[in-house]
Amino acid sequence: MSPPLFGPDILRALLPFIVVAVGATLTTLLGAWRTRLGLAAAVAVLAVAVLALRGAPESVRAWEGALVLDRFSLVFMALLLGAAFFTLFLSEPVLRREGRVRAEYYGLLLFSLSGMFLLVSTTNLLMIFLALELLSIPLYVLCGYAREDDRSIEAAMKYFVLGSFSSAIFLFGAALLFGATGTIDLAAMHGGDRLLGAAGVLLLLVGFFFKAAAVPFHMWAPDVYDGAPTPIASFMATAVKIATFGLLLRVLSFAFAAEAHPAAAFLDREAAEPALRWIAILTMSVGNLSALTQNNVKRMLAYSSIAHAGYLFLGLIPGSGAVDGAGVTYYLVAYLFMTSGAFAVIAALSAREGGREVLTVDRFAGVGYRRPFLGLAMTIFLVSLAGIPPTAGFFGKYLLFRGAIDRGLTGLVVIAVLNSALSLYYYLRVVVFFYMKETDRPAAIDDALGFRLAMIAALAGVLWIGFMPDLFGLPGIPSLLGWVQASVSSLP
Amino acid sequence: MVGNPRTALRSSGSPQGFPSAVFGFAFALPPAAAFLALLALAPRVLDEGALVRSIPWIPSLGLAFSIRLDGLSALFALLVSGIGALIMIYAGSYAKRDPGAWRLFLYLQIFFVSMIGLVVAGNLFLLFIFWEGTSVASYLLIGYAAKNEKARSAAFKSLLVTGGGGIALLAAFLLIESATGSADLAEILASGNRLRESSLYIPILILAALAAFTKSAQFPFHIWLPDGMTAPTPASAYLHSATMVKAGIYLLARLNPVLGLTESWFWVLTATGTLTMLFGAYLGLSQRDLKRLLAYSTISQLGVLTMLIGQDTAIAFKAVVIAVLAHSLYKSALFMTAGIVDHETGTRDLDRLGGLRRAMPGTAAAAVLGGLSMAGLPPMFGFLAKETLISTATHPTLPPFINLILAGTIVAAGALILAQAGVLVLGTFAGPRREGLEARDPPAPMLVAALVPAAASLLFALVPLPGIASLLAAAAGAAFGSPVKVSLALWSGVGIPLALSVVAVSLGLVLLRFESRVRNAQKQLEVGRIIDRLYDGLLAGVDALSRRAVRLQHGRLRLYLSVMFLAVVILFVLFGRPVPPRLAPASVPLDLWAALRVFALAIVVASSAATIVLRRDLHAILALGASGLNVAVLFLLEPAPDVALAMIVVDILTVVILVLALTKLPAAIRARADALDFRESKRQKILDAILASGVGAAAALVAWTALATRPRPSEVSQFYAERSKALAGARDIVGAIVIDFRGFDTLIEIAVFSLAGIGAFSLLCRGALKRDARAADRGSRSPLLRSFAFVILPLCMVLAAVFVMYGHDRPGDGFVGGVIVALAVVFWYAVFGAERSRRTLRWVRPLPLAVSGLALALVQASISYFVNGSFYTPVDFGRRLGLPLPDGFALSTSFLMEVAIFLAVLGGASLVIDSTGHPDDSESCESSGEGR
Repeated sequence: MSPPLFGPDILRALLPFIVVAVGATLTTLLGAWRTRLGLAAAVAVLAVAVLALRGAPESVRAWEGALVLDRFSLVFMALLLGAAFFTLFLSEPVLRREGRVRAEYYGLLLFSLSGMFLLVSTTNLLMIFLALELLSIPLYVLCGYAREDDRSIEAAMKYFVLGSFSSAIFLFGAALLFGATGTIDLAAMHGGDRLLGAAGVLLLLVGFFFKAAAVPFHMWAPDVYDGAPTPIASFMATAVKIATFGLLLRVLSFAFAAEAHPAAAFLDREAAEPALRWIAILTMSVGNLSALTQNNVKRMLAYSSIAHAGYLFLGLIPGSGAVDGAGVTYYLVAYLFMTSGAFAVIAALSAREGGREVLTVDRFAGVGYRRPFLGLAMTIFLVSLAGIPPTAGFFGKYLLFRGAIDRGLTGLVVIAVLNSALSLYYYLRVVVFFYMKETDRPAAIDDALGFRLAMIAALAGVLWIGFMPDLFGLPGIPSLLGWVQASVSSLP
Repeated sequence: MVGNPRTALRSSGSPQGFPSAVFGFAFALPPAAAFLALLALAPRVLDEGALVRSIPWIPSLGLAFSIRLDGLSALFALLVSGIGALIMIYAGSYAKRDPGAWRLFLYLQIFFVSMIGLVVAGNLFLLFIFWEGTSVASYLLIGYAAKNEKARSAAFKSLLVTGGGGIALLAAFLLIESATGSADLAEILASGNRLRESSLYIPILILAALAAFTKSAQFPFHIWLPDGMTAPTPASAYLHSATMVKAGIYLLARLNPVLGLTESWFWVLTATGTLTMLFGAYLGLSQRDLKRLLAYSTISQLGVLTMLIGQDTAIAFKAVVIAVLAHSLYKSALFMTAGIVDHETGTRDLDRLGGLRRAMPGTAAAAVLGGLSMAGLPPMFGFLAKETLISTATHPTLPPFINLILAGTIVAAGALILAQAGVLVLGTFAGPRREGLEARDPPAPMLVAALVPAAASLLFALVPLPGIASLLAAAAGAAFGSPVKVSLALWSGVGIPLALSVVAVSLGLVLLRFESRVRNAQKQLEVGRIIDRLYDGLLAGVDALSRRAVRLQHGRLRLYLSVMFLAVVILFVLFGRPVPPRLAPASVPLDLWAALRVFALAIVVASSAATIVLRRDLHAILALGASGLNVAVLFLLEPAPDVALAMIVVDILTVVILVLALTKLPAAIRARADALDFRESKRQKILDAILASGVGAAAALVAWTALATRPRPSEVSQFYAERSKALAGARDIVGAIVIDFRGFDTLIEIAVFSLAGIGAFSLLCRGALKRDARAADRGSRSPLLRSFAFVILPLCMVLAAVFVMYGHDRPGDGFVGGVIVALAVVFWYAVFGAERSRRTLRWVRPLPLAVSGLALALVQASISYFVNGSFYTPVDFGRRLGLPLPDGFALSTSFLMEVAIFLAVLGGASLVIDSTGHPDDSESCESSGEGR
């Protein structure tokens, strides 16, 4: 093995990451020079990143898997870019409203995004660790961005401390896996000591479960989402989830694919699968149950995002088949739109009173009458989150559940269905409040353009997937499902 | 009493009103057109059995707009469109004073489309989508008077129940698709016994039944329907009696050919249906609100239908189709008359109504016709339905015991329903006129809309149209799975059915005679509330469960961490399947080195323990430092000098920064933290200790096993040892790995490091704490320390320079160099205070340092690309230019990389130092290049 070549292909493959990372630096500097340029620079960086993504090659593998650019990474990068755009839309008005426009905000956001880009385009454990840190450190800071709100500071602190522990657990797992197999490239892993391998994979997964807020590694999520500024909460609920599930998909596909050849296995399937099942059950049940009694809508969305992670876990369990990459990715596309939309509405309603956000549901009484569009949009987002057709959420669930049944996971699907029924309750409760008689202390509604744009985009996405996902813009790709399937075909 | 939506409508009415009558006719056009089209298609349906059309919709998901029109679909579709047209016209007059009536029409239209879609869908998932559409429309209509609290909670209840059932339906369909391999109705209906023999049969049956029961208001899911009477009356007439509530019946009948004919099917459906039939009939009699009374009798009738489908005989299906038609006709007529009464008099409370026959003769006529049909008296179509129903009670294949129960309950329910019909019609229109009750017949469209189905109830019975009989036969045949004969002769001869019918009628008349006494008796026995209480209790229970689930979520970090670790341990125990650790043979020689290792290890353990026990925070930090340093010693003994060196400097830097931060913390806060930490319950600490030891032991066990079972000694170190010099021109393996082999990682690493600095800076700069500004910034006055500081900075820089230059050849590298210089800077901060340090050490400019480090790293990577055509292959400029350089130092790209690392690390570290060490916030941030 000689040091790998660095050809134009690799440069093009790296370009999306370079654009975002260098762009983050430039954004910070520009923002420091003239604060207003921060947002413009960030938007420009994302736009250039879109171009870089379009020009990226579709199969590059370099440096012991440290850089793996395939269709899978490209699809996930595109989703992450989408999430970043939504966050930018929400950030500008919120920062302005709270007088917090500062240089490093957008830079940090972009740095985090660059970490996510790396995370979905690598199979190398070391690079995964670095990418996780690169995405987390800016988030620790951003969570504490609303400094005069103690809850924000508390959120940053909690996320940081628990995040550090999860990183440590991940590192331990990576070391064990390296000890068992002699390599840090997941794609090259085979054979080795089963016990060590199983222990390593387990610890590795715990690190990811933490980021994905899977029960019982979820406890930080409600507090952090609640305390963090709303755009950041939205970013964490969408982008971080997408990146983590992208990573989980890749890691588990490799692990289970290797498992298929008993001689080459480093993962003990009989150990891993029940663990995943239990985590799936716990995650959706605890998420849904906890969401039921939340009066704070932001917290409710935090629990709801935990519950959705639970549904997504269904797709990670191979059962009698393989990991359902297409189902998970499709669901993530739907999830991106509906969750971003719901957070956009929340952001428009989250004016601070005495330094604190007041987001209790009773304050939203009558919002649906005062702003018909906002009310309609929120209703559709929540209906979609509950999985009622014809919305994005329904088709997401449909694909995931159908896939799971085909792989013989009927029991899990029944539990998931029961959970969906439960979730109706808390989603609709918000809708009911939206169309109630107004209270004497109605919530202030912020009509900033950014919120509107985010809502319109999210609404378009939710309805597009709900009504005609087969109308797809890219040449040669007939449908959303086709796009998703093509992307996961590059997984083992 | 249920809230009256009409009063809400009236109060919000604008003086000029709303041209809703026009709207009514306009919106009646689509259903009317559909009705005519269906009529035109009906002969072909009867000829061909089923018309199937399919338009692609989402081919990638296997979804198509596939339409399947057979006898069963046609019957339901005709009802939905025909009654729909009447309802729209009716609603036009009903909502005359409501300026927001466009919502009513919109919702009704949504419902009409969904319901038609539901009954003609040829694909399971299309059916499901329309099914949910009807639930949503029903929700919107029940909650139409949204400002009314009761309407809202009723709407919520209905969606919770039917929506939950809808999700069960989705699950059932997914299972059916999995069992038959198709979601196309035609293929499923042709799949014979596949479903019945599938292992998924029972779950499918339960889920499908759940969906049907919730939608069709079967006991105990019926609770949403009476409450749903808050909907405007046109909606109640249309959705909640004539059509939507029959969707569940349609589903059961639709799937009967593939799911029915089993014992479980029989028991589930018959038992639920019978219970619902009795329950609804019994409770209906106790109602005083016209609409609620009608709602309960609807529930009863839906129970009848469910029971019949469960019986699975030809005659039962004949009874089903006749009952569907009869009920839709008379019940919509009665609902519309109830709406008229309500509309004209302002009440629908039976206690305040009476004697209206003269004032509103047209309405009374419609009510009498509907009531007679409901009571099952000749010569109405309802009579025919009841006769057929009773004739099924003599089921030839059932045990006589069950036959007896069925016959008994049918007679009882029949009697109760007759009494209800009597109460309804007589209570409203007969007897003396109540005082102050002003009323007259409504506008013509409204009256006609009510009269049409009422008259049809009579007409269909008197003039047996051949078309209707054959349509009903086709519907029954489609549901039963084989042909069913349907004749609509009113007189079917004397026999047991007629005798039972006479018994039922007489009993009913007796009940009607003593109606008020029966009602008083019923008040003693409040059966109806039980299920409502159960619903409330269930919600409360789920709430309690939810509170329990979030109880752990109280915000304390310690618990969160404990849960996380506990979960890891549980994961290991449950799923890790730990094999007894294979202990390695004790081949470690007991020499001086071993003794040293043990000694260092002991210090690590002791100092770690000390961090917990030591009470003063400063001491604890020092103990932490000691622990880290001894880990470094362990590395040194390995020997891994590079790692040890990095560990040592990082450890020192960490301790120094922590101490620096600590001294800036107000004493009060430190005292409080101390109090919190040490006066808390002892039990908590003990639990923590147990958990921590558990985690530690588990980690140790795993590490031990790792060492004992390591498959290969270490291929990696050998690999790098062989190649370092050859490929990277380095004698120091670690240096080669960091700079050459894993250069890309290193690049990201220094980015992360700088980022951490920026993060600390961003967070701390405007920290929430108001610190005591200048007082703390004096630093030390000791002249010895001051002169020492002057000496140590250049010394450290020289040391760093050596590390950077020889990073490739000797232990130590740019990283260590950066940290060492940073240490010296910290020393200055401590000795001279932040202000003076900043003034003197002007070159310590964190952000530029970090950025230039990153930039240099990128530049050197590009250099090697342009010179060698390959990323990170070293380019030795020194040798190329023939410079006389000392041995071991190469002026190469690797050297540039070391410099880059040095700069970035120094930048990142000094960002942290500056943020923690500086007493005054705003100034330090200002001068570090912050915009406003």
